[in-house]
Amino acid sequence: MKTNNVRAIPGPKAPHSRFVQFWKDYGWAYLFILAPVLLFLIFTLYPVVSAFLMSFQKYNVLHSKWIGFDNYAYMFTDNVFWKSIKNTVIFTVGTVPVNIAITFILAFFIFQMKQSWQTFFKASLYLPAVASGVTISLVWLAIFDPTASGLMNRVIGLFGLDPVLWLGQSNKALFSLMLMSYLGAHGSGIILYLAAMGGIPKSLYEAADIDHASGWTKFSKITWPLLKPTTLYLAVTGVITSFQVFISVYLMTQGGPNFATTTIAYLIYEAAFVFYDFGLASAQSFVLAGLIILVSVIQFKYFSSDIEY
Amino acid sequence: MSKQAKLTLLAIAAAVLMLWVVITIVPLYWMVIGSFQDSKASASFNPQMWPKVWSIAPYERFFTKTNALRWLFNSLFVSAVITVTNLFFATLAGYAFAKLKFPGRNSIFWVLLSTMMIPAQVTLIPLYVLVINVFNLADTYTAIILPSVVTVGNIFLMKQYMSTLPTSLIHAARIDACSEFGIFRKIILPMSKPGLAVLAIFTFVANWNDFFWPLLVTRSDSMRTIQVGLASFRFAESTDYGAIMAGATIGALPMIILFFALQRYFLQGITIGAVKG
Amino acid sequence: MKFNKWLTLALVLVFVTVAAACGKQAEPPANQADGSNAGQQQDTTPDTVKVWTYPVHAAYENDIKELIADFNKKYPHIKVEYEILSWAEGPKKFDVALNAGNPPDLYFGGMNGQYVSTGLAMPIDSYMTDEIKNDFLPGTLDTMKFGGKQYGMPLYQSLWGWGANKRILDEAGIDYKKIQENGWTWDEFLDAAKKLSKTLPNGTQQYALVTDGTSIDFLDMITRSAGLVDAIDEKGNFIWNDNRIVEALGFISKLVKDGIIPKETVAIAPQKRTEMFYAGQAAIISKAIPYYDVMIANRNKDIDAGKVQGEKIEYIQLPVPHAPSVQGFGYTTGGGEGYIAFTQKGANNEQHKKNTFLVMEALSGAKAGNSANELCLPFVRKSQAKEFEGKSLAKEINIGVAKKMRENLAPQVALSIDVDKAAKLKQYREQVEKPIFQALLAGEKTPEAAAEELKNKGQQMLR
Repeated sequence: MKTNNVRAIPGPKAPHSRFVQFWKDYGWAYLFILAPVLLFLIFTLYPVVSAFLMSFQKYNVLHSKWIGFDNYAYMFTDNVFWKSIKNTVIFTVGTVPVNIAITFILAFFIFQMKQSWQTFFKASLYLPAVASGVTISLVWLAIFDPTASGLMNRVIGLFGLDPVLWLGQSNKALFSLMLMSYLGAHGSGIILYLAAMGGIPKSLYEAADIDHASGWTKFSKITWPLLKPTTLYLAVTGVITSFQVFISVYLMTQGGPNFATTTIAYLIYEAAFVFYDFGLASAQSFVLAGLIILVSVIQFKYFSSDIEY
Repeated sequence: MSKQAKLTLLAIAAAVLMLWVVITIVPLYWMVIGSFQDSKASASFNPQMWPKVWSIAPYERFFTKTNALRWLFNSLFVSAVITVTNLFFATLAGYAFAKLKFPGRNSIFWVLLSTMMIPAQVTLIPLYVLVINVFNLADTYTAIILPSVVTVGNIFLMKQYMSTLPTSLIHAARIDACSEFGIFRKIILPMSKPGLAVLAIFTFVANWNDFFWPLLVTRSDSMRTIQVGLASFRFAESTDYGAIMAGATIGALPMIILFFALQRYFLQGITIGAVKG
Repeated sequence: MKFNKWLTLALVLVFVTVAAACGKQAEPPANQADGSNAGQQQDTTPDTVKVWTYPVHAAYENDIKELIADFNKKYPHIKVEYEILSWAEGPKKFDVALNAGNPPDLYFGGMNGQYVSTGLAMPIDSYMTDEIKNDFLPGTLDTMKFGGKQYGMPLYQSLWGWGANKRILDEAGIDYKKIQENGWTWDEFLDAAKKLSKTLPNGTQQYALVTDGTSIDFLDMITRSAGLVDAIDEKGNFIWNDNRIVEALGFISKLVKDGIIPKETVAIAPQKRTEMFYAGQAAIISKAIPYYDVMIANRNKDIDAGKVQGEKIEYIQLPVPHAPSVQGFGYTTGGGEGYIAFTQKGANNEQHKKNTFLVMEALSGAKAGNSANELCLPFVRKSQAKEFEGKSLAKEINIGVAKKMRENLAPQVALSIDVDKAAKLKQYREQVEKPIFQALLAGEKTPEAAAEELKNKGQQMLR
């Protein structure tokens, strides 16, 4: 009898070893993250671990001395350290939520516009980011000029107020830096929100309209939740950058007057580059990192809802 | 929303936006205006709102400092390379963290993310020792590029972006026996154009403006990036603000061009049509 | 979940071990063979000496190129690689390199105890010949010593003083020649200030004096002129604990209260104060180095050429006024800046160190006196004074006072105490002096309260 060319019905596969099965299931994922993780290990994790070890030493180029927890102990008894924490927290709490709100509102406004207007606003609100940091700090120093001819003082002069020592008085300096942040570049956040808003399928809104949903309902049930990933990103990176706020302090006030604008990051910079005490700077950095991680975890819990649709 | 309400909203929106534009455009405006004023011996930065005397002397000074073109090229090269590598690797990794389930996904991601929270001041010395002393890469493009080939921030950005993409499409593709990489290439990437565009412009700008690391690892004038080069216009008692602004203005051009080239992607939505049916 | 925890732990463990292993290693540069020369002529093995420097004056790069060319005529086998840093970020770049164990061989700057504490600053005593030592004017080499060892050679000595606008002084009838010759006391200054402060016809205020408040330079100058050589004396004892500091702070506070200096001084940065001086809004500017003479002359030329708008100013160099209790001319605050020698971690090549010194000498020799000349500062070496005789750039009227200021230079205490004390002093300056000074300027503290706080904290930190 001739055998028909019937394909053999495949039987159950022989089970692979657990190891091989593991790679079959997850191999691609690991491959995708291979390059970043490798680079991360060398250029990020290694320096971080190095720095961590430094935090237990009195660092010296040639002979670092192991001093255990002394750096940390010193930190906690240092008044300036606590003041810097207070300043940093005030700065973060005062700027991150406000900035996200401003960014969101601006993006929302732009989203209502026609395409060509959108381009115009996107460009003019983002492009200032291309003006380098040197330029920006120079401009703001001129704006906050304490004499009557400074731009800020001229503006409030229009309202009949006296010139203010924006960066010169302890009770105003920190607020001035916060003001700089409010008026600063929201451009990148706006672009992110716009990209995300554009990604919300119109069909969802159409469905809502059929159900006669109000504007507010549409916003709170569709727009806001679907923008949560972007909001989370802005919130987390916002906290990270504002907890590390350093450049503006360095360029504009150098931590003064009288420690009013000394943030933790500035203190760390001072410990490292003014006092050459890299061990202390490392210890302070890890305390800072711990704080940020704490806040970030909270933010992740609040904003993260795995929206899959 | 009623026609009336929509119009009012538009009006308010327009007003607020224009006000904001005026405020934020000031630094950029001053940068450009300042570059046309010859304030060579200036002690402080004080450009007039509208120059009484227009001059291109700052531009002349900027270009006759022989290496200006080289600086621009260096910045362009370095930023472009970093942007491309980030586009590739950060997107892959972001996708993996967002959509693929594998053991260790969350912990690895958190370890990565937590290192973002450590101020750079402190990892600077060990990193410097690594790049300069151990790998012996002083004064090379590699030294500038290597630590930024793919950054955690970018991975985070792409992860967030990717998480908004519909998983159903991916499942569908898997059922069609598409390879993982094939899924990535044929489905995810096309859908991610807005995210990629955003990543590209952010990365390019960030690296173009990066100052401190290139300062540390370059030694010779011909390897400097534009930001480091501009700093050399600052002398002990005076600063050549005109030349700095001229350099900054020229330097801003590539980014402006890139922005306009990419910006049409910023608004594109995903094609929902693929899911229907 | 268990797997995740293990993975994270493993990652961290791996890298702690790697870090510990790689942590302390350094790459010692290949030792060059000292060759066949048995203690005779210099070794001619090719060598490279790295120099990091700053734009000491506008055309300094030309100086360097010339000096190196001359040097290479005599020592063609030693290559000199130089890098000109920017004043703004250069120090940080150097700090990173130094603390990573890899500083350049020669670095331009002021002497600093911190450099010595890293162990990488290289004493040059053994390389200095008597001829070189004698060429330096008395006291100049001390500015680059620390703990009794010589680490560098000064290229110039900086002198801090006050500078004045001749027109305004003349209008107020101030005899500045007398001041330049004999110095002046605080009371004499306050008298003069009464005539120098006034409201101008266009409504703006003309101040007698303008200074920056964002650094403690002003505090340094005033405390020195009160007879306090620094917060601690040469023996390391804290001396800001008597009446003199109260007087000094009282003087500063009076300047703000009486409107002699702008009330916004605490927020005035150096650039702003220069701007105000140029605009004729202040009679005197602090701190003013003799180089302003040249700078302002250049600005006058620019005004003539139509490039800059403003009033031409004739510059008068003045010394800082001193407390009545201080006799004589008063103390000038200043220091030396020049090339300092360093070694790298793990480097041990004796010939390289000799070569480094040779380059240092080349960059600090007779012709290098051009820097001091350009900056209108007195020369530090006899050979330099000879080389530039008659070529001085300063105006006749200011040469004499610059010389007098140099003769009355206050000793630099920070260089004669030990490393730990020096570090504590630095901390005291940054974290105690600066905030208190700024609080005083802003009117947020009285002089008595400020002095009290300085005293208490000083006794704590600087025992």
